[in-house]
Amino acid sequence: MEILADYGNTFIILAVVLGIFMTWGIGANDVANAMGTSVGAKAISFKQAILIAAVFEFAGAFLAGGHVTKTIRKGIIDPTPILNSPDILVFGMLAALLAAAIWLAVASYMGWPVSTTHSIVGAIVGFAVAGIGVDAVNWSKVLTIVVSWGVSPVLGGTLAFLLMKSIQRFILDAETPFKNAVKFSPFYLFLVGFLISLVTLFKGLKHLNLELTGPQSFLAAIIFGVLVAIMGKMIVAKIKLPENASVADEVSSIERVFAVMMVFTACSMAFAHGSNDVANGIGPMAAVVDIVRNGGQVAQESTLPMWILLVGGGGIVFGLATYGWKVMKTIGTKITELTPTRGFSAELAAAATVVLASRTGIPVSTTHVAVGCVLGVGMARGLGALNLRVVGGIFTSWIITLPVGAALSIFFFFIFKTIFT
Amino acid sequence: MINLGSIFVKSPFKPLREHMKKVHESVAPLAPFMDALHEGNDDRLKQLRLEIQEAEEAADQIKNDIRNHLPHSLFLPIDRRDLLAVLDMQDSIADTAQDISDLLELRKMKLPNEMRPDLMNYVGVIEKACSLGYSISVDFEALVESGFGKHHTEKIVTMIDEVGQVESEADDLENQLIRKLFQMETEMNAVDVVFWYQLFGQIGDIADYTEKMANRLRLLVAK
Repeated sequence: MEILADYGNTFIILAVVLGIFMTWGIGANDVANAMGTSVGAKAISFKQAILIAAVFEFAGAFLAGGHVTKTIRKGIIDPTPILNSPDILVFGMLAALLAAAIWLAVASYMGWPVSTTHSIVGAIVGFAVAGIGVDAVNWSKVLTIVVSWGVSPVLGGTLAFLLMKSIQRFILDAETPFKNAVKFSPFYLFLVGFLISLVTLFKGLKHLNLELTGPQSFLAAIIFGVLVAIMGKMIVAKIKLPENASVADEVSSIERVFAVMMVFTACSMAFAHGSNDVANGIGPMAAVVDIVRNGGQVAQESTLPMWILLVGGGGIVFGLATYGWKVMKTIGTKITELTPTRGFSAELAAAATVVLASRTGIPVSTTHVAVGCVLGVGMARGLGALNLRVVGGIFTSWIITLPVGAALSIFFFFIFKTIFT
Repeated sequence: MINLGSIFVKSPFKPLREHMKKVHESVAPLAPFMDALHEGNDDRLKQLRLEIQEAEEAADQIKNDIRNHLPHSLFLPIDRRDLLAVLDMQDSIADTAQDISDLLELRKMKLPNEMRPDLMNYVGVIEKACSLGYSISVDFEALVESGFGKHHTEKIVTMIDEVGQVESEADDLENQLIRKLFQMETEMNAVDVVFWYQLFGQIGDIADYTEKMANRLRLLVAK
């Protein structure tokens, strides 16, 4: 108890600094992956991508970032065994943040395919096992999370496959492909607006005092979907097929329609990414702030202070502005094979999967979902060539990141413990 | 950090089309080459032989480049082995074109005037087959781009059928030529007859390889 009273402010400052560093890293590295398909498909310009990312990452983090944050800060660990020594939890969360931050910095430098989400979950589980005991970990929750890491890319890939197939069936293979593209575009856009808002609004947004019942959120999502569809239809209507169009003209006109539609999926992808990934930085930070503020009580029912979500959203935008744009540019120039029809399928599928996971409070890797979705489009014979070695790299990183994150966090946990006690 | 860009690799289908373009460029000069040989225009002959050689070498380079960038870990919309087989067929066309021009030039092979129109007709049909093969290659790239759309598939299948027709047309012309050659064999140098017989076959091989390449693509397209 005395430790918390003596060093309370130090802990909060440390937590906020490390939390901002993590969200900075997410903005610097991961946003580029979330938005890469849009820039690569040349659906939006590079500047537009930065602007969309800044606005919607922040909105996603602020509006829908609370659920995953809750899981990270108190879903993984059962604090009952350490109710009398809350300082352990403070050390642990700080250690987890530091461990994940360092591991990510090393991995970024080496170019290894490591996920922010996996690092932080591994780190939290690690310190909990070593610092508190095996029983302190909510294993069923951890199992759900780990299973979701496998399920989410597959789910995203399946969705992307079906979307691509439907575009082939209803538009590309039709007698009048361009006409059909214009005709069906509002339907696809409705899907974008409907899915994202339904998952976000379902049962309301508590921290904004927006209480909605199931049917109410359903209705709101339909209205939102229709609005997006109307907006998109107005823009798409301006695209005209030239007279006596050749096959190539027709194809490029269809791609122009989908490029417009991809502006909307880019927004939803940024939103989805913000809602899921902000928690990796602010989850442990919120836990520390919570304990210190409550004078050492490990409260299970405390709400997440709004300023923490603001800091998280701000950190992501800051990372994007300082370094993320560079990574985005690199990725955008590397993805030259992707056309808007493919990008649309992959991005909508990824956004829907990630938002769904976020809403259920499960931290998934946005990047892995995006890779799954790109592969899904590939399975629909939509892409020229994909490098499967990346998938191998992901599997390896799953196996390595968890123990390394855990070991590092145990190491820092004991260092913090020694310094402050 | 994983970089999403690293999952996208350069598609091999554009180089495959470029390869076929070079292959066609090695076949197209065969007719003017034979003309130059007949007229005894040595400068033109040299220039055309160089053209054929350069096209064949360029094709070889593209072939090696495709093979170098086609590891097993690639995820392609078609079977990797099929793609390599198509590449091999295309490559055989250019090799054959070069062999033909080499032999013609080294032995300064001139055909009796009576048979020349038939030969030029034959070579023209062969060129037509090869040019059709190139068109198929262009459309195949578009087909992959379009995600194997129905319209593109139908168009390609029609073109593949056409190659088959052109190839059998070439077969007929070859048989006519050989028949004439045998009729005239007593008036000709015996060694010439043997070599011409061989050359007619080799010229026909160009259409055969083109047909094989097209039929391999037919399997891919129908999948």
